[in-house]
Amino acid sequence: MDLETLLTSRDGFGLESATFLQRAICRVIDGAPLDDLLARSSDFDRRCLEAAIGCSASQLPTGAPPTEVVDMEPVRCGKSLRLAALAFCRTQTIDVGIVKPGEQAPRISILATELDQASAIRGHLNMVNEKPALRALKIGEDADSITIRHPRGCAVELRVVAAKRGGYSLASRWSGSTAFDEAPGWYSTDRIVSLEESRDQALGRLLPGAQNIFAGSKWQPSGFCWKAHAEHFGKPTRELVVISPQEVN
Amino acid sequence: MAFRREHSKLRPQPTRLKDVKRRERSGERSRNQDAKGRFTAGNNAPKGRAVKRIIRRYLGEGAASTDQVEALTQDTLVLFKAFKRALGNDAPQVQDTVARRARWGVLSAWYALHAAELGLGTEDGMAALDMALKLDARAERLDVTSIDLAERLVSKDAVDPHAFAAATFSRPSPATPAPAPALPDAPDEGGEEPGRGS
Repeated sequence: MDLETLLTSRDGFGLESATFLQRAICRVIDGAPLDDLLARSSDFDRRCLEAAIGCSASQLPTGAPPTEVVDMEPVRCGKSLRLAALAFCRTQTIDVGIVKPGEQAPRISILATELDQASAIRGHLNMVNEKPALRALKIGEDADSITIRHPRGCAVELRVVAAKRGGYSLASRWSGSTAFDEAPGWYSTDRIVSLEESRDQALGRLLPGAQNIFAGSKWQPSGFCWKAHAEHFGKPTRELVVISPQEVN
Repeated sequence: MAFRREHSKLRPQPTRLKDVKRRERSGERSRNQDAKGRFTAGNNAPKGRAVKRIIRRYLGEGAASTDQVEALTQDTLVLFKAFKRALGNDAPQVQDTVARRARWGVLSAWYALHAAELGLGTEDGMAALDMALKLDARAERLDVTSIDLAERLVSKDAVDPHAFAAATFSRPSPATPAPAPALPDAPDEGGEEPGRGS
């Protein structure tokens, strides 16, 4: 299962009108090669992609999803829908071999500056109930979560959680991925609930194939997202890729 | 099986009747038959014929001693086929449960009619009505049980949902390139935002 097909398929999340850049960003997040997509793109498309990642497409790491992705796209361009699709995709692609029988099921956590904003992604996840191919994998749901069956049979929970002091809402279980929505707007380390501490808690618990995704539009000249952009934009690695389409002039 | 969350733990939640999802049909008459109803090459209709034969025999096929038994048997077989088709699952346990549900359903109706013939106020009529109600209750319970079994047991024709999802949501391999979907034109600068809202 790959993110681009899941997001753009009529049987999936249904974004059939996805642009070249939206498809390319899906592949960057998946660590998938862009060759065939680039082969049928225009010069404008390629310039847009290079401006969004700050380097040539050939410099992007491929073969496996990067551990962390900072995705700072403009408003109203499908970030939350993509996060919902990504969360569903990771329920099928993470390696749960390390999880022992009887252990708490891995969780894919969705956090935002406020629970209300994170709930927007829970809303997009209702697509699972609409599409038979997705619904067949669902084993339960409640107001804040959907539980999906992994190909190896274990349950993987997609849950909207409130960010807590020290990032402790992400502790105590394996993480199948963590989505930090509106990440540029989070408080930094000088506050009780901060993005950096939540990130630290998530990093040590990521299963193989899992990711930390920081999505949101640029906002403040401080904090993790600003630093990541300043230090890593245009220098993608397997550990961190920064996407910022607003660099297009 | 569905789960419910109770005190932050997952607990098994048997499917409630009202939550049973509507069966999705292909719209084709049968994958074993063509448009004219003739069996096609490679059809799998004979699969499970031993189970089918036993169930038909238990439902009284070919063993009717009187016209009345013959009529009841025919009704039972028709109902059995209809129930099985509606459930969309041909696991042996489901077939057996549905067969009993059809049998008690038909007999219940017969006893109810017989009670009316005998006179509902008479002792015999009330005894027949009592039997009809008992059979009706049994049939109703078997109805729920058969739906439950059909939800839990995998039919031999069932598709593995993970394999289906993996095939549906995976990019074709470069060795067998699929026709590329047409990408929408690049937006003009300052144009409308493409895609959906975040």
